[in-house]
Amino acid sequence: MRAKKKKGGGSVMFTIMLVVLLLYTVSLIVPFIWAFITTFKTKLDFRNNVFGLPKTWAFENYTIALEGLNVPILTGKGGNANFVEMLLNSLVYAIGCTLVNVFTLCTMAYCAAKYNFKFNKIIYGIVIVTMIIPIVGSLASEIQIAEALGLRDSFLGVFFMKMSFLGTNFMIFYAMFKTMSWGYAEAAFIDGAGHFRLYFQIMLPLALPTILIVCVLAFISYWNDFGTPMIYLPSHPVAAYGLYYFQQNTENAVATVPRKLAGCFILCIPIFIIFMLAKDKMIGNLTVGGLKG
Amino acid sequence: MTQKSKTRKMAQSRRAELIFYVTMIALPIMQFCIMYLGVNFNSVLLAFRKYDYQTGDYLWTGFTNFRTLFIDMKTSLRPAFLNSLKFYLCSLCMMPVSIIISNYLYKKKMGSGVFKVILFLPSIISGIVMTLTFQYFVEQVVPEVLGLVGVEIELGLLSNPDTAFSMLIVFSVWTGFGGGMLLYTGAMARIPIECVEAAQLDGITPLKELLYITLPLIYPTVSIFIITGIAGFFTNSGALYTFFGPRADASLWTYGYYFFTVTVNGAGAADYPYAAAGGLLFTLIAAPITLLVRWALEKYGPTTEY
Repeated sequence: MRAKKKKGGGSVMFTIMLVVLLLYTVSLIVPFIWAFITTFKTKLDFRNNVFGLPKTWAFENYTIALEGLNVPILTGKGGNANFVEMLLNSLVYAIGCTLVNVFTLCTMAYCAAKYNFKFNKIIYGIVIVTMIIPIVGSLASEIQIAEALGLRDSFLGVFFMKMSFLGTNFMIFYAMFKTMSWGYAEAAFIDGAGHFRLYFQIMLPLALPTILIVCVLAFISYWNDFGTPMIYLPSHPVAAYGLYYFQQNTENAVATVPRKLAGCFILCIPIFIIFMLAKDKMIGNLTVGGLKG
Repeated sequence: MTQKSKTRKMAQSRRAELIFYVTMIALPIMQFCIMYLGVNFNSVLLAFRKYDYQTGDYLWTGFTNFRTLFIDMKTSLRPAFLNSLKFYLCSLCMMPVSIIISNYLYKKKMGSGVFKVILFLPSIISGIVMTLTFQYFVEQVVPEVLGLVGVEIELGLLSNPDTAFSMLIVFSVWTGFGGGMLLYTGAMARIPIECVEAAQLDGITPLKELLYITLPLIYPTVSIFIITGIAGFFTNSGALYTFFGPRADASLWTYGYYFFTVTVNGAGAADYPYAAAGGLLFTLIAAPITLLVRWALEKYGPTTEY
């Protein structure tokens, strides 16, 4: 009797959650279904028929979005960038930043976790202190320094700026390497391997599942980022910035609402593919420790 | 093997370790020195300077930027304080919701596999895509639907100054609903099954299990969110820039939005010292509060090791 009552109390909590989650799912899916249907409408059809099905299906909105949505380049290079070029810029930016950032994080965490040097305490301390003490509003100074060092408007410059080992991802790698057995290294040393071979041929492959998860999350974040490229890569507009530009500049005759939404769905395609392939690995597998000084 | 050759071999091995170590960390440490230490040191200097239009140099100006900032905070930036506070409180309120949802998913209740994917979508879909979809939906569809049920509104919900800020809060909740789910579910998955099973044998209810077992065991993850979230009060722009670019109405501003637009869309180099002064002031406020909260969380929070 007692057990039954407890089970009932729990099921009420979970039932409420189920209802909340269902409502949220509807609130998330309905606007996207509407947006997807809208991408097939002509400008006139959209104006007269906001939430019905298209009178005629304007599939060409997608090709026009790819070729006709142009962003002017206001730096010395001049000219325009169309959406295909912007997608390519997004790809270079996202892949480059992901590889540089994740490799840096992984390497620094490995060195700090597996090598017995006093400097490790400084590395770990830097990560913890920068996570605990927030420094806000240094963007102006960052722009100034990036300009002074010639890092602005160059992919390589931006990649250097992303070569940071700060943040929670360091803790994820650090925790993983701390628990990884050093027995592999000892066996490799007996076989004549050096430290570089050990890291690149044994430790990195062992860490691959975590590296892939962090890479996927980093890639998604960089692919969707329009703020950093807007500030630091003015000659190489990315697709997310392109959509921001069309949203802000309504005078462009090509950039109708259906075509802008078509651009949104084009931007999402690579992310959806990656997410569907990696979702089981991503959700429920990442952990970080607490902030211990 | 003699003692001498043993010592030499150990020294060689140590040297090889050192070469690897230094080679691998040199560039990231240099990057940190330039892009973190250098940037922040320069930011502090910049806060006490002003831009000279004639020479293009930065000249010392003492506390002038701070005086201007204090005047602005009492006048034009007054709504920004309230708006930043509202966004911050909203994010705090979302945290328990996020934990409860993560608990539902962790317990693998009905539809949890599908909900995991759904809740994760706002984290992977570009902010600009979420913004455009939300914007056109509340500006075009919602007024049409309201019109069908006899409620006529002249302006879209984001265009109307009376409803615009509420819509920004709704957007913040809508996109942040599953926020933190990834790390919370990850932390919950690490909870030793023996703890849960022992409690269940003792007849614990799901609510008590959440409060007395799950929450203390994921406390380190929760505290990370609380600690790192404090700076959000000064940096959160509530997607204002994505919605309105640099042209948002002053009644909607947050501190984060204001200083971002001053830096990116202001008078360029001339506005940098003012923005740097804002950053320095906010850091001086946020840093001690963050440390205090961290201390309190460690002192009064559960200390669970597993």
